[in-house]
Amino acid sequence: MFPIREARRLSMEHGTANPAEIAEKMGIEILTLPLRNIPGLCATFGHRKFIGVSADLRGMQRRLVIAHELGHLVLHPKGSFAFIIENTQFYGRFEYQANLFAIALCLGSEVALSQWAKEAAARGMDFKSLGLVGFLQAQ
Amino acid sequence: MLGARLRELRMARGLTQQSLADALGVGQTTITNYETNTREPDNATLQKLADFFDVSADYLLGRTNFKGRPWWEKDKVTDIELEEFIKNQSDLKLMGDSLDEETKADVLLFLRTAHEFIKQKRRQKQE
Repeated sequence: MFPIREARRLSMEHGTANPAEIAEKMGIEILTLPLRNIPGLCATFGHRKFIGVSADLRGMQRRLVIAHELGHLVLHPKGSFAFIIENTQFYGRFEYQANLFAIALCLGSEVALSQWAKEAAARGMDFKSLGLVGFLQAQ
Repeated sequence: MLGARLRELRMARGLTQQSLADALGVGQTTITNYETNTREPDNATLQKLADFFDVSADYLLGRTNFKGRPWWEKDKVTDIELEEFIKNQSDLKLMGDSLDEETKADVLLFLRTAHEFIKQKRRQKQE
């Protein structure tokens, strides 16, 4: 799977699986913002790339959202106006790929290849209700 | 591409290669080289050229036919410009509907913060 391969390649290249560190090394700016409705978003303006992440998110949730946005920037280059917004109800192919990328980066490619990951990626990144913490402990 | 655009902008203002070179603080041969595409300007010079002709760097590079600067290259940007920008982003939809007010506020906050950041970086470069 292309998103999983990309996640592995990036973490090898930068020597870390932390999406914030990878973003920093790639010159992508992370803006932590008091967002009210969306967990994260990303955009390219000219040659500068930005990830916006909600200030409410902590720990693994923050990590996954940043990884998801990083996935968009890495997997879906779209000229200078790339702009993708997240929501939990509508999931197109790009969202699915970004989710799989995020799972691969944060949880490892083995997890990302599992049936659970496929379903989670297709359903959306509502990790609170998916009980991600429980899942991690169960592994 | 850059060469042709540069020449066109220079001629439109009735400038000689020498006078443009003086204005930018480079040698006249440098301008000749840019216009004949034998040499490419570095990022700082490209920005200087864009500032001088008041066009976007993308226009100089031939990546867009739109001469005006995008909002993130300007010093000031209005909410109306940003909302116009948001409206023109075809990907920026929630379930095919236009954005609700709260989401739009989130996106505007993101754009504003990014704009401030880019502006700061530009200042740092100039100093």
